[in-house]
Amino acid sequence: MPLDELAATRIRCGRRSYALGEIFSIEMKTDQRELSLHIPGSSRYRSLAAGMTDGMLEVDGHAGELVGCGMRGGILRVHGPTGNFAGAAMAGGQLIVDGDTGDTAGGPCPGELRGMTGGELIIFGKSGAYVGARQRGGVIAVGRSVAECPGYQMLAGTLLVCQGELIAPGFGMGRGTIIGFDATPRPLPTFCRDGLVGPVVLRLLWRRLTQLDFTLPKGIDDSLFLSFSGDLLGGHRGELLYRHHG
Amino acid sequence: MKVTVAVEKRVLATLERTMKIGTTEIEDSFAEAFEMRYARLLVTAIDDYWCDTAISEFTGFGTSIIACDVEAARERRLSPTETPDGRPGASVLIFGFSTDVLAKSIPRRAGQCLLTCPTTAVFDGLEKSQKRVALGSYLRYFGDGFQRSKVIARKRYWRLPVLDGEFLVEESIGVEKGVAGGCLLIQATNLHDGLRAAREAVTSLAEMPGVILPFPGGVVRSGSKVGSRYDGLRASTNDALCPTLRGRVATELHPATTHAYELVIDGVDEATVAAAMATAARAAASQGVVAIGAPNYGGKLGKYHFHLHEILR
Repeated sequence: MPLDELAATRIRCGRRSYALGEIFSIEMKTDQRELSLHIPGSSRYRSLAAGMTDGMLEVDGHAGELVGCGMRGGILRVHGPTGNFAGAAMAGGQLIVDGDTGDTAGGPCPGELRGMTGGELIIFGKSGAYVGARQRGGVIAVGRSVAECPGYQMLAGTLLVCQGELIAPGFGMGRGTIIGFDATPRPLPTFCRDGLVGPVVLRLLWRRLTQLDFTLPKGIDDSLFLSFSGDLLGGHRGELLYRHHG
Repeated sequence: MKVTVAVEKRVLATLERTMKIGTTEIEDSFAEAFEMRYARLLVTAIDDYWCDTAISEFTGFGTSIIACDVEAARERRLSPTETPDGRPGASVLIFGFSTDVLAKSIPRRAGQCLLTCPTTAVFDGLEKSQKRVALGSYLRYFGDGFQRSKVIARKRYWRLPVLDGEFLVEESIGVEKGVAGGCLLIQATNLHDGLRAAREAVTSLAEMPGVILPFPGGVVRSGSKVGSRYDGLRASTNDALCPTLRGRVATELHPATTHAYELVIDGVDEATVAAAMATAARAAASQGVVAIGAPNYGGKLGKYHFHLHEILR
């Protein structure tokens, strides 16, 4: 897209819409192969990069609510925290958050039913409640802890939580995978224990996350996981994997 | 004066046609090869033993499309850093006349020979191919409803529950155009030198990417010709290359040959097959190997011609 066309793109700000060039200064460095946009952060943003399809956007600071909602491609990097609904209903691309996110990251947009269906949501900090709610695809990786109900009514996809406990994980889930590295195995009573497993597919996931600079524990390739299937209240084809220590 | 020039021209022409590597004559002949479709599978397992076992079964009965459905063999070993899951593995090339043939053969072979082998996983080795055949999406039904799929980096993998955990297989396999039928004829003065030279030639190609030798140990002892005196037989012994028939047919063997072996080479493209033939010929040329030639069908059947003197220049 030419720069003048980009500058003329309309965005909503409150009740009005503005041309992008009225709010931001846009420049393209000639040594870059892809268009990369840097903008300052603000907690007042709403729906930043919604529906993004290509290119790279970097936010230097807070990215507000609904950042990257419905995005279908491209790379969105937030050098700071976000509000609620980060990556809501995203279908592709990468949303990488260096800080914490609010609630319902990777879940549905407010008032909607379909959560994230594709792409990769990488959160290096903490995430709030209902991360991956109604997730239907894609990968969510959280470097620190999450609040309650991760993977609520999850239908597909993968949610990885590196630190902390998992409170009511996979409540009502039908399919999909929730992985806890540090959590004590305390699934809901509607989950059934399957035993110790070492799925080869997780090796592919570790390699992909390593490509995205996501830090994983040493020796993860050879780790075993205590597996639970459920939720009996949902489709009973979801899986909870708790990393086995010792 | 004119007679002298004529003799010199004839001598020069003979010298130009003669090529040698050491004491081994390289015949002025060519191999005739065909366009076929191929797929590459990456097979991993917990160790080399199980990987080799799986591949040995998968490529079984895959020597020649004269009577087998495909031609298949291991391409090369892969170290853990080269495989998608970081385990030991190997790549396999499988050639068929058409994409449809591969679409039928690959899932059946994988289902019976890779799925059944302990600890294996199977991945696509031609990610960028537009033409694809179903593999995981075909085998998933073995899971009987308990199978799961996982999409990672936009690729779908199927996880089938089995007795030792899960069998992981990529959803589809890419198919590309390749070249099959590059050929060398190693002619030796005794059995042992012939076998040794053939094995050295095969060893020289063991880890060359893009190349397979689908016959047993990479070597053919039953070189064939098209057709037969018997109705319905598509191929029969190449009598012109049989040392014991020298007194009964017009032989194409070097006069000193007592034992001959063929190497049949399939590759991902014309240049790769040519390079492989050159490498193998240089490895085979040794004591006891009196000549190296290339059988062909008169140049009328195959699209690709590999002239020995050109590829070894």
